[in-house]
Amino acid sequence: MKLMTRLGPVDIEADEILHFPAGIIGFPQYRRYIILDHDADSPVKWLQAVEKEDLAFPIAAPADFAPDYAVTISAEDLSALGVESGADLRAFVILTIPRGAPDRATANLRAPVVVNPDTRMAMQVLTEEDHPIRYPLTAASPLECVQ
Amino acid sequence: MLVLTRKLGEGIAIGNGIRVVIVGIKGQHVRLGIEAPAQTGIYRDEIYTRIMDENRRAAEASQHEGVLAACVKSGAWLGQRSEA
Repeated sequence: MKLMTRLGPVDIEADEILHFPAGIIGFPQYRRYIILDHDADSPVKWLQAVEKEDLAFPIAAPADFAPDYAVTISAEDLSALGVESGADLRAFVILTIPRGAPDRATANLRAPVVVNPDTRMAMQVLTEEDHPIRYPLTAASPLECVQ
Repeated sequence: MLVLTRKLGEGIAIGNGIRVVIVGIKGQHVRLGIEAPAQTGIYRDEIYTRIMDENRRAAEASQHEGVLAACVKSGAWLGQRSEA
């Protein structure tokens, strides 16, 4: 199926769609997303809303910059995702990139997006640990890019 | 805002399938028990608001992705730096 996205039109398969029954926090009306590669070499991906062309969140796998990152997900959330253990889930974190200041980009480690890769059920969870909402990426890897 | 008075052990029902019960009261602290369908997000209000604000800020990046493109292509992004 053809989908219009922030990165232009893309062809997607129905089985690539992730289902967020509760949406992303603050965006409850959009429940279906796909993950788009920014480009082949980039660790940054886009969580693109299927129903809204101009709604997309930059995301990354936490292992790319915070190798020790670990989260505890509540039993209720695990059950909603249809898994018994968090080990069965894949996690992404949402990046905030201030306009004109990518060197001040941060990652929200407190509210990762977790996906059950078997069923493609997904949700944004609040971790039981008090992880930072604005973890500076520059601490892990200084950015040298400019606008 | 609807305001109701409830005693310990009493509760309220919200819509179809959500129940909130007062399970403990101690000084300024009230413990709530909540039953809701699994897909219903339940969060402490102050953290929910912060996450919502952060998500909105994150979504704005899609409006200025040229900046991000410049970043990733420089090879200076995240863990790519040492390998680049």
